[in-house]
Amino acid sequence: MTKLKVLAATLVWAAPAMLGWGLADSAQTAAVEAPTGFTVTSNGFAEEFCANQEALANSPNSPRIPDDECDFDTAVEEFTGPEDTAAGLGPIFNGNGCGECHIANQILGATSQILERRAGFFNSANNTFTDHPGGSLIQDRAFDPNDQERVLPASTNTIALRSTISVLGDGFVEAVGNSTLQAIANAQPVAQRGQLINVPVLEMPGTTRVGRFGHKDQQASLVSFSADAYVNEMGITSPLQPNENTSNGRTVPEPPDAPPGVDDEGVDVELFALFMRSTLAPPTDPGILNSFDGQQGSALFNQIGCAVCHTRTITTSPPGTLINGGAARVSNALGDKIIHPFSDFLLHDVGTGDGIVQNGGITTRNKVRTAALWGLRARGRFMHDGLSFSFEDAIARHGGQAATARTNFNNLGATSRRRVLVFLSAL
Amino acid sequence: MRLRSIVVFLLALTVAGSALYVRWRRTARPPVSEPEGDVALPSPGASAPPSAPADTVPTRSDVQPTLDRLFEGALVVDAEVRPSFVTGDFTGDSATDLAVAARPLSEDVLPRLNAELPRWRLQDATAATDGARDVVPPIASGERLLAVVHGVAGLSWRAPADRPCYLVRNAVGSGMRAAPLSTVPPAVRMQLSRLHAGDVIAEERGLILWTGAAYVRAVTPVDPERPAR
Repeated sequence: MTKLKVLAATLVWAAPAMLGWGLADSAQTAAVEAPTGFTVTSNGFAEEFCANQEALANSPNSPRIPDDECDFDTAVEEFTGPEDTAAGLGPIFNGNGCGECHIANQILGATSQILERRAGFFNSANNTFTDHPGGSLIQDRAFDPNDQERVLPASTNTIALRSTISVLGDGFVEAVGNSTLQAIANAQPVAQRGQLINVPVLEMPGTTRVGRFGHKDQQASLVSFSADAYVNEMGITSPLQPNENTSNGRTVPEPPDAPPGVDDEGVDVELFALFMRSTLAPPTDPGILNSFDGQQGSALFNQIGCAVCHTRTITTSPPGTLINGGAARVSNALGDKIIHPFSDFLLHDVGTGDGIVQNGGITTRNKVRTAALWGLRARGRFMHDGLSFSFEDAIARHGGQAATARTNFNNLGATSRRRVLVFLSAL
Repeated sequence: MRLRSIVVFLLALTVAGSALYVRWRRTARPPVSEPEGDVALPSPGASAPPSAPADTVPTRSDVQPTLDRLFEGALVVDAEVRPSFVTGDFTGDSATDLAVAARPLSEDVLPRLNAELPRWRLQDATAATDGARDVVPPIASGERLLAVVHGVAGLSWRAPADRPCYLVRNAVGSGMRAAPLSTVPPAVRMQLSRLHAGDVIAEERGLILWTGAAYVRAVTPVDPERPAR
């Protein structure tokens, strides 16, 4: 009887503690902050992926990376380039390696000042857009001068410049679920609501996913994005993009030493994706961010409405989640991670154009993806066209769905405006 | 008494068991094996581009208060330039914009015009578009400037809210008028990084174009038939 009382009393006291312990543990297994840094350091994905390729990738038409090539250093080297004609470079192209635009070995920002051009013709009478002959992307280099692609005035009433986007942290962005992006859009006021588009996942034919990469959200998976860039920026074909570019719509011969058939069997494409998935998220500058002005500016950033589209915080899907139409599974390194991209990765009309239609249909003609502000301080040119050279210049250009935020910024006193700029310089 | 103890014991056991269950469930979370699936998107209707709203011809009594409001009372319409102002869709967004030849009101307002963080952007139409324009000398007393007020979101420059504003150096000339971009020779249009619908500002010395980020003076082909001024 007494023993039973003692046991009951002990349990009465112990039970709440145990309940707290159980719940506390559940909190510990929830999402954690993603690793950050401007260094050429793996976030852990490469090591995890290379030890578990079969578990984390399942594509019917994109190859497995050979074991002796599957590591972070090889991925960095492959991403950095340069490529040559023997690897399939050309005949028309924009760069000779990913690293030419997305500076890789000196990774700061993993971006550059390099701009590209897109062109096409918008017919306002029937609301249709036609790509420039040879595709809207203009390849600015050619091995043979006679193959040089040019913008043809007769076929063009829209020309857009496109800045290079940083790839740092893109693995985390890829691991963000479709439903998460949908929820972000749903939470936005109607006037500022972003547009989602579903785009093809090349490595899992017949499937689509919510786009999140590129100025037009034209890609959803980093393997698809890599294959696209390999052929369109470097002229190197692969199983996912087997067709060579034309110059103004005219087929041009490859350099004599180009590989026969498809230039790359697909391993390079996988290595590019491996690099991007392994990058650290861009870090903030804690000294600036934690300063009084930085903290005040951070609060003002929210108050004036910037954060409606420049979303501060997103959590990636849990490890194990199938993404990219089933072609990939979210890894432990990328899953359940909290990132601060300052972007909703959705398309908005902020009054800057760019007038080009890609995967999203005619309604996206004047919409661009919300620029991710993480790593902002490592960039010197802003907006999708790189034509703004200061934060103030960039803010002043915000119109359309961002007009309210710009107005609110302009209505701040000079001290508050300066604090917002201080905050931006911490990102 | 014994019954009460047993009840308390069982209750405590239930709570402890629940805690253990919560912990086990979190720890042993099975991998999510279901594909995330597509998001069902609303079918976007084909939306025709908005047409520019009708806007009445402004008078100086419309324009000066606009300058006062947006440029903090620091500018005055430059009546020596004829016409002193012009409206058109300079940004190609179907909203009417205003361009005004203006000067600083006095030397006293120069600190205001040259403030560290003004509510307008100061640009030089003759500066290179690749970065040189982010270093612009301060505005001088009596300097002639083109003040441009953008309409946005279908609302013209007249709308009372804050408007994107620009002060452009080396952009004022007599005979200012809005000319449809479509009438500009392709050799000039192709200098732009972005072509768009709408207008350019034409004046006696040439064309002022909006690139999407800045006002620049177009390099126009020389007409050998036209006498030099």
